[in-house]
Amino acid sequence: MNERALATGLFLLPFLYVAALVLPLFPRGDVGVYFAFGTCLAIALILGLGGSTGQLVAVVLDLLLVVLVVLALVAANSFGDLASQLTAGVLVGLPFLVSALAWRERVGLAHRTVALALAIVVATALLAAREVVVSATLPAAPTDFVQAFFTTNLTQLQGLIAIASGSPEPNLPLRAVADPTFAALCALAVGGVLLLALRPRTGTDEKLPVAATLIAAGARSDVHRVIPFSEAQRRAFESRSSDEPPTGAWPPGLESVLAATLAGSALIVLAFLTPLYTPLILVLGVAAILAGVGLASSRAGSATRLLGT
Amino acid sequence: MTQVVLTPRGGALLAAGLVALVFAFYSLSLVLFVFATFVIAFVSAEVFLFAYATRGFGPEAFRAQRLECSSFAPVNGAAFVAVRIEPNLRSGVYAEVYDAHPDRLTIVDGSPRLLTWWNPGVEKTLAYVTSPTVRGRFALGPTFVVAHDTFGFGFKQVALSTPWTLEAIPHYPSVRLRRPERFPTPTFGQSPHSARGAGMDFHSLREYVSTDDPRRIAWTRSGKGTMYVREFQRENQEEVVLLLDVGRTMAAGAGIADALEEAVEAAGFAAQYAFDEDIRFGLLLFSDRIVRHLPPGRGPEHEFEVARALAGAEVEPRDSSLAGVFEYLAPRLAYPAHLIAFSSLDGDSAELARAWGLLARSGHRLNVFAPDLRGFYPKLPTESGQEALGLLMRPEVDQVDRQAQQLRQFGVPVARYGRNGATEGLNLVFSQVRGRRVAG
Repeated sequence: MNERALATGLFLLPFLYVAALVLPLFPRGDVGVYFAFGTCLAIALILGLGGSTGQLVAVVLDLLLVVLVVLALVAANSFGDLASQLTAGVLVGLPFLVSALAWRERVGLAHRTVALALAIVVATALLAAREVVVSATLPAAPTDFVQAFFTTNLTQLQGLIAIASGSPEPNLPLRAVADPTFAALCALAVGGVLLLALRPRTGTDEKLPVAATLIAAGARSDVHRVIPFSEAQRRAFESRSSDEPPTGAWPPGLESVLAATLAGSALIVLAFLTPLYTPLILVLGVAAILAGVGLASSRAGSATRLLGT
Repeated sequence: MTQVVLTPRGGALLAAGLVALVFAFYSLSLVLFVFATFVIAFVSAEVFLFAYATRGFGPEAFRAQRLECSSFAPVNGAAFVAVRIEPNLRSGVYAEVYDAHPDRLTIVDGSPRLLTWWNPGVEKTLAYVTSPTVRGRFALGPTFVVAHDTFGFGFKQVALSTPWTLEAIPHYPSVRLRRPERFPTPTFGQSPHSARGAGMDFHSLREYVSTDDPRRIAWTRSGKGTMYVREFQRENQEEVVLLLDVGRTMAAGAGIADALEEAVEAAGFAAQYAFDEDIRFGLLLFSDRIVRHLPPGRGPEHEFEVARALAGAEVEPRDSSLAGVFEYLAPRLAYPAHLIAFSSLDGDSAELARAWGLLARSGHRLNVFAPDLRGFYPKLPTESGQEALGLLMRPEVDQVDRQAQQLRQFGVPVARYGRNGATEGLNLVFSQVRGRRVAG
């Protein structure tokens, strides 16, 4: 299977799970929710997997959705809560739209990382809003869900500001979301990002030789027709080196993956042992790592030159 | 010691890890904390491990040498280039090896680039066949070695000094471009215009063919199975000296088809004509100094040097002085010579006339080909642009016109050449030279 197709499948899993949890909250008659969600999903799939024609279709669909939402907002008095239905559908489809940036073939690893992180944040907020709605009445009105989504995020921001100002018991609704299935599916999505990163390549995304694709250049037999080689030249030409993969049993780069896995595991352990100090330790650790990278890279040399030492 | 350079890919991923960390702090999601930590740790571990694996990586860690490289190649011919690199690495590393070469050298076979895993102690050899598309001297090297980390987050680069010069020589059918010291002298008598044959001056030896006069067999040089005959040439002191201006005005023109390039092309034609006719041919490249002087001569080595000098002709950023050339040549020309000058005729006209007077009194003849400077620029799309170009070029154009007029008053034929070259004019000149030989 194509590694990009597999990665795309992994990216989709947590957000499909969230959609499966949230969409049943709404009455079957709220067609606007399903229409908006379906359109978002279609746009995401076309943007993420399609070629240039697909992108054109995605833009057309996008415009269509915008026109529909605007029309619904303008005619809100006549159509009741259609605007809320469409907004709720877009909110549920938002993680797909965001993560679609991560599926695209020519998108860099950094963009994939940010897109996935943002999509997870939105999905977490959706789960938090769901908790609020479920604790009230069912089936939920789209208006209530939209309101809960924005209220949850606002409360989260206020809680973070309260922490910064030293408040002892802030209200953090996103923190309350603890869904092991969602966490496991997110881990798989992260695995999708890594799957696309772990292929050896240069900084300009040129693939480096790996043992699985050993290419033997071999000596050409027709070179003597191109130039009247001397015997020494012919020998030198035939003994020219070819692209070779590493021959060791230990795959290059595995150390980094192991070190990163170790760091991630250590953070989980730390979070359970000392949850209060974990953020502080994490910030200090990241600062130390960044300083180390600066020293090891040429940026350190630039700083030295700038300081004139 | 060479330091790691973070690639945009590595730097961006590190930044993305930090952004993910910000998202994690917003949502307080353990998944995102772990994700961000993993990304940051992954990139930094890769950079640290790469820096450690490539410690000692620098120019001193490699020994590079050229192997059996060609020094000369005909334009559109082929040259062999190779470089062997012995490393002193401490551990294996992904490396890109690249031999720098001008883009006017087309790669015909092999590759000047290698992207490979490089184990310590293993030699790597780059070898390729290249074809020059234009004449000139081309500098090859340095050879770059770029060590990459596995995931493209960082690299280290060194430039190894492997200088080499490849001379691309225009290919004139009659001019022998092969290095005479490495290749046997070609068989004479194959040119329909050859003046070799009857005469008293010994010229060379060649293998016996059935139509040869047996009296010319060189018995002392002949061996079992191989017979040689002596070749003689006519006593002939006819000399043509081509004067090639490489001053700044000769850079007039768009692209590579400038005044000098057309002059070089014509000079090559003149050399070919002279060698075919067995005329002693000399070449002098000048600006306000003598850049290169090959006195009139014959023979494969001389032909090779003429072709080589033409191949290396480049515009110098200075004025030129044809008068200075005449003064330089006056004591050096042993016999009355026919001078053919490709020049923009810079300098003072009175001085030029005086210097030419000295040579003319000694029986030398002169034909001048001056560039039609306007003819070397394509027509501009707008009239105003064309007028502006005309105004810009007017001082130089007027100067060439004045000098040409002055020389004509002294009986010197001055022809103009443009992007179509000067072949027709040269044909006329050589018909005069041939006529004098027949008359003589």
